[in-house]
Order: sequence, then C-alpha cells, then structure tokens
Amino acid sequence: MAEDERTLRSLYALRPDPAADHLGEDDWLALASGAAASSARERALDHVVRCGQCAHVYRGLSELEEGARAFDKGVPQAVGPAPLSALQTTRWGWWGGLAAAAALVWAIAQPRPALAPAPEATGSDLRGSQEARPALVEPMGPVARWPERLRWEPVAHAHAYRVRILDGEGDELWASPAIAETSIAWPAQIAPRPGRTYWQVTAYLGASDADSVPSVLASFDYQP
Amino acid sequence: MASTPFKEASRSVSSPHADSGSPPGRETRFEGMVRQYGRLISSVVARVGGQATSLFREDIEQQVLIELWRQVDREQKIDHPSSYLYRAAVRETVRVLKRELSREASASGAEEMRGGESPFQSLAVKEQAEQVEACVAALPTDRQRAVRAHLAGFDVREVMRMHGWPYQKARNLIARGMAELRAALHDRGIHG
Repeated sequence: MAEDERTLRSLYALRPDPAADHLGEDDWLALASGAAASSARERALDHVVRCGQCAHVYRGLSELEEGARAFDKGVPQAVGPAPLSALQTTRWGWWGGLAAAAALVWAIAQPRPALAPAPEATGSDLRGSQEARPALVEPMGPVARWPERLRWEPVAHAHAYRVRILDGEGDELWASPAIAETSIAWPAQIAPRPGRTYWQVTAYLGASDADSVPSVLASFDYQP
Repeated sequence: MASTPFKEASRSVSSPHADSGSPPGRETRFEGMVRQYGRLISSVVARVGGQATSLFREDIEQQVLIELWRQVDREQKIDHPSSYLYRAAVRETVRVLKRELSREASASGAEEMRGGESPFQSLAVKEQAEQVEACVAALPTDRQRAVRAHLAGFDVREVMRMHGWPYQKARNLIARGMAELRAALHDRGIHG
C-alpha cells in the first residue's frame, strides 16, 4: 500500500462525521431500491462519502445487492458496483494507461475486508516511483506563453515514446505516434487555450506494449 | 444454531403465502429466499461491521431471520415477494449495521486508535486532517466527489455506480483529483 495513500486516507478518516445529516432508514431504502429522486440521491451520496458510518452502511448495501443477485432476480441495480466491459479495461491498457489510474485499477481489484484498501504502491502510484519512468521537463506549472514543444528526459533502454495530451476534464485531445526523440513539437491542431492542460509520456522498453512505463500525469496552466 | 430462535420463529410466524393458499413449492422457495437473505445479511454485516461483529455472526443470523419473518408477517399481501424481500433485507441490513457499527465505535473509542501519541502529535495530526479536508473541499465538484469516495474507500466501479459516470470519467476524476489534492497539500507544506 502506498504510504502516502494510507496517510491520506487516515487523515481523511479523522474528520468528524456530519452526524446531523445521517441517512434514515427510508433514505437508505430509496437509495438501495433506485427510487430516490436524483437530487435526493446526490445529497445522500455527498453525505455517504463524508461520513464513515454511512460509508460502511453503503458498502453493506452494495454487497447485499451484489450477493442477492445470485438468487433473487428482482434485485435492482442501484448501489452495487457497476460492471466493467472488456472495452473499458483494455482501451487504455494499450497505452499503458495513466500511471495513477493503473495503480488504482490494480489495487481496487484486490479482495478487501470491508472498505477498499488504499491502492498498493506497485511502482506506479500517483506521485510516481523511483523506477525509470519518463521525467517530464516542460511545460509544467503556470506558463505565460503557449508551449512550442513538449520535452522529457530519456529513459534507459527506451526505444520509443508516445505522448498524450488531455484537457482539464481528462478527455484526450491528441496522441502522438511512437517517436524515438525526447521532445516533440506542440501539435498545431491544439490551439492555445487558457487553463490547465495535462500531458503524459509513455516510454516503450520492449517489443510489446506491456513493456511500457508511463510518466506521471503532468499539467501546465496557461494564463496569457 | 440448533436451538434456534429461528426455528421457533419460523414455526410461529406464518408465511403470507401459506395464508393465501399458494402452492407448497412456491412457499418453500419463498422461505428458502428468506433463509438466503438471512445468511447473506449476516455475512455482509460480518464483513462490513468489523472484527468483533464476525464473532457474533450466528447470533446475528438468527436475529436477522426472526426480524425478516416478523416483517413478512406484518405484510398482509405481498404482490412481488422478491422485491418485497429485498426491501426487507435492506431495512434489516441498515438496522443491524448501524447497531453493530455503533457498538464497535463505542467499544474501541476514537482516542484509543491514536493511543501513544503526545498531545503535540495529536494536534499536528488534527491540523493535517483539517488541511486535507480544506484541500478536498477546494476541488471542483465532480473531482471532489470522486476524491471523497476514493478516500472513503470506494473503488472505481462503485464510484461509477454512485454518480452514473462512465468508467474512464470515474477513473480520470479520481486520478486527477488525487494528483491535484497532493499538489495542494504540497503547496501547504504537507508531503506524503
């Protein structure tokens, strides 16, 4: 388990529960049966992720829903985990995935006693590990000029790199072909836009996509 | 499990289907489903309710079964036994979990969990927790929801279901939100 993940979750758990807004039995029933109005559902869920006790109850109902589906066809799809399609699990896998997301997906797939444990540090946690991964050079942080190139440090034994650029909501704007260089001109089709833009470089070390190392997800904030 | 309040209860509490003259096979399936829900609820409570709860799993199962039958008995006519039972199971799960979680919380005590710390350490931890909360609260709405769910222990599939987000959106919001949270904490001098 990544130490900083554990620390963050411990610190988050120390905040006082918002006892005044605890969900009542009818609220739970509406939520678990899919009958809650969307605003009520939103309010309930905003409480659940702030309240340790209600988070446990939600987890219990989620497990109840999943378990009951095995013998009761009338169980609604309301709080149990959403199924993942093959597409969802492989599309980003081709890219090597976001370093953070890969760690999350791996970690959450592990068996857990009650609440999901913090993601394991598998060499690709959100802050990045000390493994050889692309170290991004520029652009980073606040920038007053729209970048002309993206640069990163070479990775030993890497024979190719791919670059992805994402907008502030994580939608992919552009992806490069595999290149051998450690910089690439800013793609002309992405016009300057104020605000935060993310980018990531994946280094390819072997013949297969599995032998790839993604950088941390970097961002720059363009304020002209 | 043998002496069993459940056996007594299930003898004394008649199934609504028995009263309505349902075929014996259907009544058996209904009762079987009640038993399955009883086992499932006690299993869920044992997993979610903590270590101490698992020690009382059989007792909890007995209580759950009795309560489920009581709920069934209160209902005069059940049009959709399956969904009715599920709702009864939800109610019972909430009741038992709340009871067990309260019991566990009062038994362990929040202070005990941080035993051995000096007052200064406790204060530092409290201040750090406040910083974490402040940084989380400053995130944009969807990222904040994703990060809070992640920090509360929910996985991507659960976050997808909670908010009706597609997989990539849920995953991206968690990853970017956590990265932003770390950066904000870093700016405040808190390092992981």
